[in-house]
Amino acid sequence: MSAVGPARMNTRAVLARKIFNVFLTLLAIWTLNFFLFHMLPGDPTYALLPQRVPEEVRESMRATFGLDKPLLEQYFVSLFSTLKGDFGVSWFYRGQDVWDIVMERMKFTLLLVGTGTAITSVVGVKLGVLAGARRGSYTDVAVLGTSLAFYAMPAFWLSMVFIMTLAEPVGPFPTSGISDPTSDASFVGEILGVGWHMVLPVTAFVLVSMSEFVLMVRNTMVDVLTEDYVTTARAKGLTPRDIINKHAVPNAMLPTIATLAMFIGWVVTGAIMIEVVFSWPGVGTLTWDALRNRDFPLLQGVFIIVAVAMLVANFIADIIYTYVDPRVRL
Amino acid sequence: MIRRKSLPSAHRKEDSPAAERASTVRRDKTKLALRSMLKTANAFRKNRLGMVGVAILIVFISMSVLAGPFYTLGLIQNPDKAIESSDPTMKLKPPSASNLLGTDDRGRDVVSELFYGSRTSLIVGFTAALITMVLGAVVGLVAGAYGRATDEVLMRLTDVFLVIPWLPFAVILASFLPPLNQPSLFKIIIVIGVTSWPAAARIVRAQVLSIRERSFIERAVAVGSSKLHIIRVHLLPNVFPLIFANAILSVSYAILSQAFLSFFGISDPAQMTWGLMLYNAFNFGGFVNRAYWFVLPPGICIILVVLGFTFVSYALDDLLNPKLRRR
Repeated sequence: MSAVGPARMNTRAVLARKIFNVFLTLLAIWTLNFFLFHMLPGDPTYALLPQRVPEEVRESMRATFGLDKPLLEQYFVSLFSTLKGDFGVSWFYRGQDVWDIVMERMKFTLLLVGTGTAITSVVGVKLGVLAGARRGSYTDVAVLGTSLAFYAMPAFWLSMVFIMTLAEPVGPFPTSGISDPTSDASFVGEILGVGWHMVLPVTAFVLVSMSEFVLMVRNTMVDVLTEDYVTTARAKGLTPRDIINKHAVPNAMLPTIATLAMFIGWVVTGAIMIEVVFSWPGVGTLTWDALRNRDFPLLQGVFIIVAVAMLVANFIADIIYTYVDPRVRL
Repeated sequence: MIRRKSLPSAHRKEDSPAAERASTVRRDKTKLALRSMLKTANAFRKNRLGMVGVAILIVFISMSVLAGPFYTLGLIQNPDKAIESSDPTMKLKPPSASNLLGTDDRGRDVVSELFYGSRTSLIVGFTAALITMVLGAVVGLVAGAYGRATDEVLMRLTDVFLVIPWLPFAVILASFLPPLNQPSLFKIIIVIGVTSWPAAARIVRAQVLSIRERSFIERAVAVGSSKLHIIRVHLLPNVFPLIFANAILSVSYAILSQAFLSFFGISDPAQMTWGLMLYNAFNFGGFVNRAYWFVLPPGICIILVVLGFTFVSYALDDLLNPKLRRR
């Protein structure tokens, strides 16, 4: 930010500012979301009720949903209900709470994305470091080439190709879903079944999300290796392995964490499409169904909840960044 | 806003020595610009990755240009006109001499669809990227040049757009833009352009911030140039190479985004795109019946064209980014 300023700001004040910014962003997203759904010409009663319903029924429904109130009043009413954790009622799954539906599906998404992200970050860093440390070698070209190819690949297409080539009846893997209803109900068997169903979707997720990661680590590695302190380390007689592991990698990780935030959206998009193709019962498939059923409250809920999740992830990355980089004082 | 009233006008048509000098300077500047462009082009030709990218793009651009003439010559069909083939036995036929890549779920020739798809994909890619870059450049330049509160507000806005889950947002936006329930190419272009500018804005702003510290900007401020003048005359030309390299990269993002939207059913069924082909394959039997000739080609086309734009963008970045050149 500004070049001149207090040499060291109060840690707590900066943290408070960051948290304040997160809430400000959240409010902006919520507001955008609200007005987007209220831009709909006509009103939702037309989507909910059959065409030939008497006007009184329509009126009473508008009153139930508060749609007859002025827009500003509606805005604050629904803002407060969101703050209380009330995201409204789904249109398609009649009577069910949006929050409950999303949370029910969220655990499956977290299982898929969590496993995938763990593998991605470990393997991605390894590959990126490997390629960056040997810039211009065949290893570098091979890693770069494969990463670029997967980066250019639509996640849903990769999933389709996986199913066509590796899933039953051609290959050994199940085509869709999360478990086999016909398998024995023992606990261990259940877990193994889920794991078996996860192989293809997780692999697709890892391949698609890793490319961005590998490219980023590789490029920062190349940058870092031109720095003076690397030359110094070399002059001191450190082994290449030590130079890379002790001097280059820790410094290469910093910009990687910082720029990661820009790609979270892309990763979420990939995850949604993979879920749809594999019929994984997570939030992605839920979004797809909500879109097809024109279930706007559910869609709105998914939108806000996913945005919050992404904001939190960003915030954590931010905190980790300031924590691991001694130059950045909170 | 613009405070230039006291400056001697170089544009006035007078036979004063000042006007003559100005025109010579302008001519020299053009010559210089031309020479540096030629130099860049020469250096670009030595970049292997960039040339591979250019070759790929030439193939696809010729495909899109040739779609019309080939149809007139009777070499390919027009999938947009014959939405349903008359012959029901033609559905999902494997590759043969008459249909080199087989037929789709409605009995249309896959090769023809690829030709027409390339046209739409490139149009969407280029126009959406143009919107993205104009929005990104304006936000980045204004935020970087004005600083303070303007910067703060614009960057918060950028953050908001950056953390919004893209796919649901784009789909919702597409379904709410008029005309309702009627996906059009125009709508898809707008949606992609409006949702993908934040990354560009951030990159441009970062560059502006570093340029702003240089002495020629200080000089411009000292002689009383307005902010708009500084942006137009000093900042924009300096960030333009960066904007250009990024615009090419965002073409590939736009083509991918368009495929994603198609997959979610946001596309005009009467306007063939590669994404729409995959949507049809996924939803109408091609995928379930393992019609690899129908599923593989559109995906491979998307990958190749995205790689083509990425390679060209990388090569340009290599040339135009002085920091990289030193390595």
